[in-house]
Amino acid sequence: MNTTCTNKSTVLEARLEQAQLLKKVTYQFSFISLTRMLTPQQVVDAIKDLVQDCNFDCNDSGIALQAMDNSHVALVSMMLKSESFSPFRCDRNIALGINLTSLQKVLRCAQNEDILTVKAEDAPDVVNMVFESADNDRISEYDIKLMDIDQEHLGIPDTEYAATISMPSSEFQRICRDLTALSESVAIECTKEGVKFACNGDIGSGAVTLRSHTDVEKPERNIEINLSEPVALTFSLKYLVNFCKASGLSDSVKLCLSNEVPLLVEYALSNNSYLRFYLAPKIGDEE
Amino acid sequence: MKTRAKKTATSKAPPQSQESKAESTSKHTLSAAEQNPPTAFILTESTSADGLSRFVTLPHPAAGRSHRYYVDPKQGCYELTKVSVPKKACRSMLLTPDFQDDAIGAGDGERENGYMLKTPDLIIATPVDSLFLMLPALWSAGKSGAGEEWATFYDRLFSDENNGYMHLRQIFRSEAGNDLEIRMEGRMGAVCDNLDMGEDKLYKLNIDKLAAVLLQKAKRMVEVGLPVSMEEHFVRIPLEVPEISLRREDSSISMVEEADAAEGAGPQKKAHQANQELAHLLRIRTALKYLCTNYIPPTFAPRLLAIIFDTSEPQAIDFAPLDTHLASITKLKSEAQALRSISDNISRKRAGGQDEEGLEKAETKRRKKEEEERNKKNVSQGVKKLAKADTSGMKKLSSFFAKGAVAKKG
Repeated sequence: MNTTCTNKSTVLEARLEQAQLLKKVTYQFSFISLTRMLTPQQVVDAIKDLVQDCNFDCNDSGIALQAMDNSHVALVSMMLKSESFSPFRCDRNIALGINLTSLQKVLRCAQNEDILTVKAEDAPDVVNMVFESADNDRISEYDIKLMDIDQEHLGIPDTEYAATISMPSSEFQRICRDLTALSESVAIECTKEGVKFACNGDIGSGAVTLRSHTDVEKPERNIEINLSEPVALTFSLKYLVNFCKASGLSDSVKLCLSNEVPLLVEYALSNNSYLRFYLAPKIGDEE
Repeated sequence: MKTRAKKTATSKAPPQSQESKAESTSKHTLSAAEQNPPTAFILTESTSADGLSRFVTLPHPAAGRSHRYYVDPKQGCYELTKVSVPKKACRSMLLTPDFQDDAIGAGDGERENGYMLKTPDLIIATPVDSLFLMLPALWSAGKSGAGEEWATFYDRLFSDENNGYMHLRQIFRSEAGNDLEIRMEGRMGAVCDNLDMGEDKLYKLNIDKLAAVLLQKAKRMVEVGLPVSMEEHFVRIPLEVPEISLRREDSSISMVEEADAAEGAGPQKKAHQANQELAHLLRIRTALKYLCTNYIPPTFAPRLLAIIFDTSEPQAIDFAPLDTHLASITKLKSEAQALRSISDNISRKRAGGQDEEGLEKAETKRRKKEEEERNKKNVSQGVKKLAKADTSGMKKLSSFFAKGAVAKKG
């Protein structure tokens, strides 16, 4: 990881080996995906369908993002720790208000193996992105205009959830996709026996039940259920499907549920970075 | 007549004290406003050179209170009228010497002789028939009804109980005042029955004569032409027929009948002539009422007017057609008003609504559309789809999570 810091006025400089990560994140909520190419692209992909614009708060611990969808029933919270970048330098806390669609357009210009460097000056009006192809022969550079975004920032407490379910992200994605065909909402019931995703729609009903499962050979296919008390909640499938766009970011997904609190869907990224989605449950609306 | 200070016949020019005061102060500081500022008068052009003209206090013919008049023995009596501007009109008046007269010698110093009046009120002296001034003295006799006394001119004006005319007495004593006295006595004779007692003449008010004099004066007023504002207010507007064509014919038919003298002319001309006659009648009546309110006590005016309007007298003017015409016009007006208040209401609603509100609405609509379009370009497919998601029963996240104190902003 070569570091260059020639521009003294640059306050933020974050170099990401895998531009794709940021790309992916962008998508989901219209997220940024920083992964293996870690994926700024993927991250963006993951969030960009949930929110339009959001502030990327940069400080010395990394780049954080929190945004709600237009109806304020879902929230995406992303943390890309400084360890994910190398080098990472942030002299001052700055907020980069970026339109995710614009960001995605730029990130599309990156190839998966590209190294992405994000730079911003003090009191910036643009954020600078440089893509270097792995063999350093090609350097492309883009500036994205920043926006002033007024966003309320919610303080999310650390919660002890009644039920925590880990499963392969692809499994969760499949369940959501399948059930969407039947209904707009899914009831998630978590008991000792397992977790049941059930829905009831105009054409009929459907349910998927998962039990704890340990695959020794492929630990990424494990299904873990930790339960302190049974939980049953209903959620909007449209939102869940949206969250699932982050599946590419991580092999496994963690669902955390407690009665009458928002569902947490967490995609763990490397280096303690994460992408989290919160979704308010449907209450008193039995269909 | 509120300011009594510095009331001199020469008050056209600024008082001397003021001039010196203005000179002593520097260019840039303003002298304090005077406590009792002088008042501007416009008096007659040629006051008697012998300085006999006076401001005198005489009883007001209508109000009975003492009132100031300006009397010039040669030219007669003048009443003083205050012309004031509305309080809201912020005006002042600059009085300067006549520049044309001393245009040659006028240096800068001369120009400073001007004087600024804070309030542009003017008091104007206008000639008044001395007859009116004497009326109060005659009323006192008139009060006693049938047993009216005869009295000489002198006794009338300067009786013991009635000392309102003291100032006149002083003027009469002078040589020039003699002329005035004779003239005034003549005026008294015009409205009184008189009895020749050799050297002295005895006078007693004759109401019929007074009525005749008033009527004469009113006619003269009309001949000269009523002041524009009076003409507008009391003649033109009351005679204005509301714009209802049918009704107008109604009223003009009655006119035509009366004006049968002009038979050869077309009906329009007849109507016009009739209208002219009515206007003339109204003008006379307006003038009479004006005279009565200004110079005849309110208790006495009705009696006087009754005599003037009494149709049994051969010379009396017949106001009956005017009355009927005016009555018909008021009726028409009230009808038109009733109609108008409805139609007006409707049309106003329409017009106001379409012009401004409509435009405003269109404008905001357009702006909204533009904004939406701009937003759409930057919104991903997913966000659009989510907008359609059914969020019923879902609470906002802010109800679960406290709003962070730190809104992370750069």
